[in-house]
Amino acid sequence: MGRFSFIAKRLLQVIPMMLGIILVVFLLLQITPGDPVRQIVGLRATEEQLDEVREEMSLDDHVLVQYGRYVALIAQGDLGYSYKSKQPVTSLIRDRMVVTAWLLTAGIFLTLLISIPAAIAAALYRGRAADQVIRGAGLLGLSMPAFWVGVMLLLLVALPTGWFPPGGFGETFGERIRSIFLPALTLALGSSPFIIRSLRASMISVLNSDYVATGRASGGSRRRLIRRFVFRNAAVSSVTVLALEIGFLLFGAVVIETTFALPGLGQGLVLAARGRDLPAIQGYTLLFAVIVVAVYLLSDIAQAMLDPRVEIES
Amino acid sequence: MSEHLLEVSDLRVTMQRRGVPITPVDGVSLTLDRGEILGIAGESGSGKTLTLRAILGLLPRGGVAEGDLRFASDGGRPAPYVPTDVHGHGISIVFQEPMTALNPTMRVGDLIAEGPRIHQGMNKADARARAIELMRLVGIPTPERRARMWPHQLSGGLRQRVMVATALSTEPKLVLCDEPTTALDVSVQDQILGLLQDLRMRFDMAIIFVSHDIAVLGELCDRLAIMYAGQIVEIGPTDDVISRPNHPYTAALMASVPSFQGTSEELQGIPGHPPDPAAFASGCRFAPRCAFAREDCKEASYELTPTSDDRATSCIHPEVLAQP
Ligand SMILES: Nc1ncnc2c1ncn2[C@@H]1O[C@H](COP(=O)(O)OP(=O)(O)OP(=O)(O)O)[C@@H](O)[C@H]1O
Ligand code: SF4
Ligand SMILES: [Mg+2]
Repeated sequence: MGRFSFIAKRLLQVIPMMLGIILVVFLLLQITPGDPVRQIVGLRATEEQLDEVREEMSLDDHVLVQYGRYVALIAQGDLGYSYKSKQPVTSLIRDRMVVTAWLLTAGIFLTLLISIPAAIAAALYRGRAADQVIRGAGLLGLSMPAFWVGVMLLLLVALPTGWFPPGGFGETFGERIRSIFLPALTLALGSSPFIIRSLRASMISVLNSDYVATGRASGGSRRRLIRRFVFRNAAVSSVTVLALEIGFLLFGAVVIETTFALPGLGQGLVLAARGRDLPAIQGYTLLFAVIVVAVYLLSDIAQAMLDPRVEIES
Repeated sequence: MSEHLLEVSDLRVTMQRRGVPITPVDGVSLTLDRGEILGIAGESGSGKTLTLRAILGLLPRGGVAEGDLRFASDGGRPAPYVPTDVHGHGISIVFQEPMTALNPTMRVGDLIAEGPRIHQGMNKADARARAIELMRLVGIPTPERRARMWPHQLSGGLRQRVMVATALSTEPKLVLCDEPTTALDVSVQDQILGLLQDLRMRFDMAIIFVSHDIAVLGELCDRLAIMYAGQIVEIGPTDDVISRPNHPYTAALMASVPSFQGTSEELQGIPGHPPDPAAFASGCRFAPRCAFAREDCKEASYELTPTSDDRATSCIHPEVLAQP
């Protein structure tokens, strides 16, 4: 079927994209002011020591050769060693990735849990009270910065009730759920307004379409109509918005992880940047880029699954 | 004495256009017998589509229908109904553009099976079998294979057949067709028309058929209604209306059709533009464009006056059309 060849084509497109991303990350090192070798060996090192390390890192080779070597290393899962901790960057990232994956997954889940019913209600009762309330709440959500929402949730929910830890990431599944809930909610409150707005708009245009009139004429319940005629069609165009939104969520995660003291990628990136730990910065940047690419890929695949016409339009 | 199947009295549709109410359908009355095909013709914007949609309560958002709608659902006398009573129970609709009227994310077989599943309480397998049977009925080749396809994978003609099959799936007594063949090429158009006639014969199904195409209407319909500016200006047996119009607008409409002019030297459109619902003339709405308009026409209030047993016109001077 055409849709599956579309997905295969998209997968192939990822390869040049990844090479480009790696190039940018590689250039990070090249354009950073100061001598990276100096950073590693320290200010008191002699010229011989510097040359030795430079030799070791083959920094005298042609840039393209260095780039090729860099790609090869990454392909083998080697992201170099942290200047600071001297540990492999991959092992730095591995533990943090779990935390951020939890945060994003829970955040997306809550976003959908909030957005889908709200968008359906807003579209069905458009112009009426429910719609106005949802629109107002959305504006409110948009106008509050994530760190502030996070702090408020901590002060108003976590501390008085004691149900949620004020920070950190739990060990057991239950603890993890509890420690991720408020950060994920913060994330969801920031992203839901966008999803609601887009889903509401596409639901309204679908509701006005001829095929929904045909569906209504067939005489089923409204529930059945929404399920079979409206929702899937409206979701098609909102999937892209959701993917874009996840891209933003990732950067929201940097702020939120700091607020909730979550040892995730965002926090790791902040620490690496503060310590000018270039290999770690490169590692995080690369990973963030990969996540964004993966999310877009997934959204394209989701769209292809939802919309049988995708093969034609692409 | 035939009982009517459908009675529409004084139907009025109000729409909102940028916050201003307009009345694009303004006092339409018509009746339809069992198994009868009624055509509705008229220029673009005369309110044909909104009339059909109002009968099924499928007006675009912001639209409000007033008037008396009656339908004889169980072979009895026509009785007042609300649209949801007749959805899937007696009245179906076929839209002009089968691409936009078929849900793009449902397989063809599931689309056709929707009605039987809801109303005959069929399970999935039975409804699918019924869908394939219907597809065969409307002349779709290899229905088993096509039932699994998506609407966009079919040609325009097949899509419209799917639309017809969907409309037939609940065994309606009346099918409303809104220019069902305009988007199709001529040979496919003929096939669909043949199909509709055939189905009418077999199931004694009544049809209201809206079209711009007088030739098509002339071939298909028992009676013909002409709409202008939200009103029916003339109604009667098709041949009479076409060959001996009782309303200057009908006459002008016929004169603009190439096939009714003998030689097609001068294809004269009707001078002037169809009026916009926001600015309907008072009195006879056709007066600004009518070659026979007189002073009193501008004060004439709308009334469809019988000129014989089976014909009526809203023109107060139908005699101006008498052949010399
Ligand atoms: N959704 C809507 N909102 C506001 N006005 C509308 C809407 N739909 C139709 N109208 C107006 O109502 C009038 C009649 O429309 P309708 O679609 O019934 O015409 P029609 O006779 O079917 O024309 P056509 O032959 O072009 O299909 C038009 O003037 C149009 O501007
Ligand atoms: S009433 Fe007068 S203006 Fe109207 S159609 Fe008849 S002759 Fe023309
Ligand atoms: Mg129309």
